[in-house]
Amino acid sequence: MKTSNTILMTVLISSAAIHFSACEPLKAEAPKNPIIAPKLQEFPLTDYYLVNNKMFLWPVESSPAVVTEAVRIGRAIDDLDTVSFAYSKEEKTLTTDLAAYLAIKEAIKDIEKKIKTLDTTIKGRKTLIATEEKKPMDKQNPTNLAKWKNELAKAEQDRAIEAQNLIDQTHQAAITGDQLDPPTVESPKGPKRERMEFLANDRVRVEAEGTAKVDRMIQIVDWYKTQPSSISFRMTAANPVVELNGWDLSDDAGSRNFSSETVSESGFETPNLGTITNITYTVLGGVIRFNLGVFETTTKLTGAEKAAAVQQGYETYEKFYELEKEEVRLTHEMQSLIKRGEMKEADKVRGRIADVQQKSMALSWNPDLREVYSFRVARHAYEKTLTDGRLFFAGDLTRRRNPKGSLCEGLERTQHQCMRKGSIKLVDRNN
Amino acid sequence: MIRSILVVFALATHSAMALDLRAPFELESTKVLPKKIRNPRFKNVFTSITGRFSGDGIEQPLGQRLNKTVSWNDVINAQPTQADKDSIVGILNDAGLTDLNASPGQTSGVVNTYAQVMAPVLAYGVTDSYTLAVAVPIYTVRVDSDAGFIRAGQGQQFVDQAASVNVEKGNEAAGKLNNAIQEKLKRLGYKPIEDQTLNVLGDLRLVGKYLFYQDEIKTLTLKHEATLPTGRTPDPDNVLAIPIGDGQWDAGLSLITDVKLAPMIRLNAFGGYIAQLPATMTRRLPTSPTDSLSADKEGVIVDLGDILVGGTSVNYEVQGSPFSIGVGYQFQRMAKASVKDGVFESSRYRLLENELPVRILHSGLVMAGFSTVDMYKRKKFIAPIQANLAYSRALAGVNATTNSMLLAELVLFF
Repeated sequence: MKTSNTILMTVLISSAAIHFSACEPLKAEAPKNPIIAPKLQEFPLTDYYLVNNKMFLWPVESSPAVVTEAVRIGRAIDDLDTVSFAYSKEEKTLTTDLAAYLAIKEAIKDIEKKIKTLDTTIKGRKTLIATEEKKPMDKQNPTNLAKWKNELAKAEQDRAIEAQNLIDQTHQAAITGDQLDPPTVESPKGPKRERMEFLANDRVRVEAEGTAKVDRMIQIVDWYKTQPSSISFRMTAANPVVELNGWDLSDDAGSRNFSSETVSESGFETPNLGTITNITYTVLGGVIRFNLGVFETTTKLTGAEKAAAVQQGYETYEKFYELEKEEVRLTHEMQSLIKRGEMKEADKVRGRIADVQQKSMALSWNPDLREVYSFRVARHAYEKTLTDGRLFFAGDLTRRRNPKGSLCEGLERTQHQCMRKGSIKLVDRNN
Repeated sequence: MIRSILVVFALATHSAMALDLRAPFELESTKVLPKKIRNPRFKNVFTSITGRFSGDGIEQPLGQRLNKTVSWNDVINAQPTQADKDSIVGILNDAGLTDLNASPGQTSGVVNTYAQVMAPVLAYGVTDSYTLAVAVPIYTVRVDSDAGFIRAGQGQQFVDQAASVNVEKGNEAAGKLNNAIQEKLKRLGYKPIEDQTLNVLGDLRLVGKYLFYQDEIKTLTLKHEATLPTGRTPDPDNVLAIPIGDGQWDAGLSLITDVKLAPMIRLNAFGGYIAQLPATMTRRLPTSPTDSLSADKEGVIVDLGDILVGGTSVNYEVQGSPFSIGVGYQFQRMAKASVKDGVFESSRYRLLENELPVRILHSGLVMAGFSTVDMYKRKKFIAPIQANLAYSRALAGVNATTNSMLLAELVLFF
């Protein structure tokens, strides 16, 4: 009896022990060896005034090869820009170091100009005198002849002085240059002076290469000939303000300015003035996001109405785009069913396509709103900032157009061909 | 004698947990309750599931499906727009990575499940040969899961290249690859993988046993059962959903026989058939045979496969003591499900059927019992109580979980 009770209690206690002790699954830990992400730095809110380096868009149907080439060209232009900026910086240093030498060189240039002018004068006067002297004596004008001879003598005298000046200054330049920039075996003209010569010559090459690359880029992407001249961000926690100025969208409206501050105005005297909304700033990575609305120039919308239209347009497009993707998918599905002779199934899918189209038709977009551009730019090339001294931003933008608007009409395929993806690069200064 | 009658009223000859098969947690028996005897039981079942048998019978971790080599094609196809796809290809080309079948790395995942089932059961002897019982299982399920990514050289190269164009984009690309599983789930509209705890009611079961033959050596019992779909059906948005219930009515019939091999040794054998009746359940419709994840879900009519179950056991009651021990084997086979076509193309319903294939499970069970019934009758114990402990585990199988179970049971009689 006693033993039995003990055993019973053991069983019961064991049950309870199991109940309370075994209620947790084994801790799951998946093996991991993640990709090392580039570390984002934190950039507290501050004001930025940025210069547009380049901005381009490509159609969403572009081939990967086009995108690859655009990315490569973009980076090549970046590299050339970096070289050009580095040359400018170096030239400034060299100019300071060789200031005295360069002043003499400038003086020499002036003397050379003077000599050139004097040579022209001498040549001219000699021609006049010779022509006059070839005439019969009775036909000659002694007054003019005397005047020209005087002028010739004066010019020759001045030229001799300037020629001596040139010799002196050139000699002085050589002395000063050698003092400031002692020649070496490797650089007989002086390393600084040789470097300046190289920079001047190579800048021509860099600029030519840059121009060629931009020309190629223009051929493969949508490139705004008159790009936004500047984008400024005044980021304060209470009231972030974004302005984008001087953007010619290649329409009749000319250069446009956009600002997020205009939304508080009751009306717009300048129809071209666009609206920027939905501004956010993320400290980690220094990420700035905003939507920019482009309106018809005839619009009578107030700032607040414009802001609301931009927000609605953005959301509408996203819904429209999802529905359109669904329609494309279903259409493919229906076509494959028809091909296999499964007509009953195909009819079902046709019904679903009709539902999707109906939903799409019900979406509305303010007719005054022509386009919405969504920007996302972030601080970039941190290390380059340390060496180069400039602040860089890189990012992307998406253009969404009224899917039912006139700018999207006549497209053979899906309406979202109106969409453009793009790339933008900004910098706080270029020289 | 009463003790032997009351040893076990087996409620669950099969322990199919709705959409899947599980190892049983008790031995079958022909025994029924005497007339008007009430028999409340409290079953407490603990099970830990960390693996499952594959289609070719090899035991795999439960999170095996999460372990997948990702190809660049997978990454590209996952992009929402053509422009995004092109951007990826652009960066790959830029980095000199032109083989789109190559891989940036491999996803990894581990899923461990622990379930505790508390099942109050009330049995009642309607007649001396017919006993009726009802069980209301209450599940506490904990799922502990983790997903990761194991990078390959190309994955790092790609991210470095993306970062050279845009640091933040490079960071984002790394984040997306490192969270490839969660990103995919998010894109397709699933909930993220995370630890879960459920406290829910399971499918209610009604079981009747009819003892229709008995002599000194053998007894024969017919068991009928019905399962009511009171349990929670799997959430189609939860990729790690635990199928507590399947939303279907089940009806089953089994024949059980006990043969007395010696005075204290009993051999049991049984066989049964459980029909799972069709019902509507919301399911995701796969788009490919290699990937069960899909953005499309629909309320489809699913007829889960019927279950064949059979088994045998030997039970030994230690003479002159309150102890008994038993050991058994059980076989279960669930047929492949059939899914009625809906609004999507037929092939997708066939793919869904392939997600619910034939399942087979062989399992073994040992149990030990302790009963005070005899002592109570001899007035040597205050109450007729029985306590059982059982342990079972899956031995082999196809497309079934490799769980082991521990049962602690307390039985009262009055």
